[in-house]
Amino acid sequence: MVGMGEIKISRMPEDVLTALGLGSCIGVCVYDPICRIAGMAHVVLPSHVQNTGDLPGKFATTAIPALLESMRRCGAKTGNLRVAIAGGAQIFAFAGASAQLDIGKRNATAVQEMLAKNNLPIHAQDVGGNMGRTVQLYSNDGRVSIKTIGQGVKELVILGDAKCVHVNS
Amino acid sequence: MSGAYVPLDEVQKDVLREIANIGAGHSMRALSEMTNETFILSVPEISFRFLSDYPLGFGDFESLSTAIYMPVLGGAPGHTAYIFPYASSCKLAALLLGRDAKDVQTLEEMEFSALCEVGNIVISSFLNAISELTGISFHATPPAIAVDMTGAIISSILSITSQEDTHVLSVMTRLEDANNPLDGYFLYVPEPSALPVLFKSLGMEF
Repeated sequence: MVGMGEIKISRMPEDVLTALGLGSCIGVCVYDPICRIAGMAHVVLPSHVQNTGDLPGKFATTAIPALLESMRRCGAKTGNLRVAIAGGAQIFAFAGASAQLDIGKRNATAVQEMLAKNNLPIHAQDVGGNMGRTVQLYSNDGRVSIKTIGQGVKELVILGDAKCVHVNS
Repeated sequence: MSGAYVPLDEVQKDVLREIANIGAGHSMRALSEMTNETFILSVPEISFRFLSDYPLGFGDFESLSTAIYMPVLGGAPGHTAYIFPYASSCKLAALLLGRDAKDVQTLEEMEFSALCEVGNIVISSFLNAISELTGISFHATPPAIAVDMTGAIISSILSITSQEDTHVLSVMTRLEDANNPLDGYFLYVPEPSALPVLFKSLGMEF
């Protein structure tokens, strides 16, 4: 279980990293298919105003570097890493609300920017919309599955699959 | 930006509980008048938890809930929401629209607008009661309604308050209908900056 603002890494093949009921938050999944190491950050907000305390995973700006550092410390190679992101929904739509209030969208943009800054292409993403998501990353093959109320469980990508290619450049 | 929360002592918690109790009591009276049902309120539960420990205490994260959420501006900013298990919100909508409960299995446009209106009245009663007690003026904003996973609803509300703190303070009051299973809860999340204002308005040091 990856709680709000947490970062978790696993190299146990039977592990499944899970972020339950993401609303505006984003589950950032990274996977090293060669070393079979999985990591997930549960990002809550785009950027920090003050210090992040003991939850570096809370902000996109601090979560991505902290997630990559944790992966490296567990033996993952930066060049191997594959990435999928999901979440960033707008659960509550206010009439006439400004884009500033759409934290989900701002989270998605911030996460995408931070990944680009760290030269990490995104292999699959399911962001935005107005539906909550549960995101799971399977440690054995990098499978990312997404559960929503409307559509049940669907597979987003298998990050460990050799055919897995990134969607952006 | 509103800074970080200062942990509350037992007396302050009691006062906050009492504020929430009075507010929720008034809002339940409004709900009872609209539905002709009697509701029983629990003692408000105050949680001050590390962000990553939420939404612990709010039941099954993936269960379907209906939430009417209203951000509160003014002297003591915060967030208020009425959250019901989906089946309960269908029953409530049926009551409000004068229909048979078994005829409302899903929420459509009409039910949403009825629930939103009720949310508006009920949350406004909550704020009016607190305002009378403290002399603080609140600005109610138009409510928004959502039907989704409980975890997604709660985390979306809490994330807004967590900008400068890794803890969140929440006050939850459960409601039970004496006749129907219309259980739900009222969530009040004061922003960190609201707490000194609330306590000082009652003559307490903070």
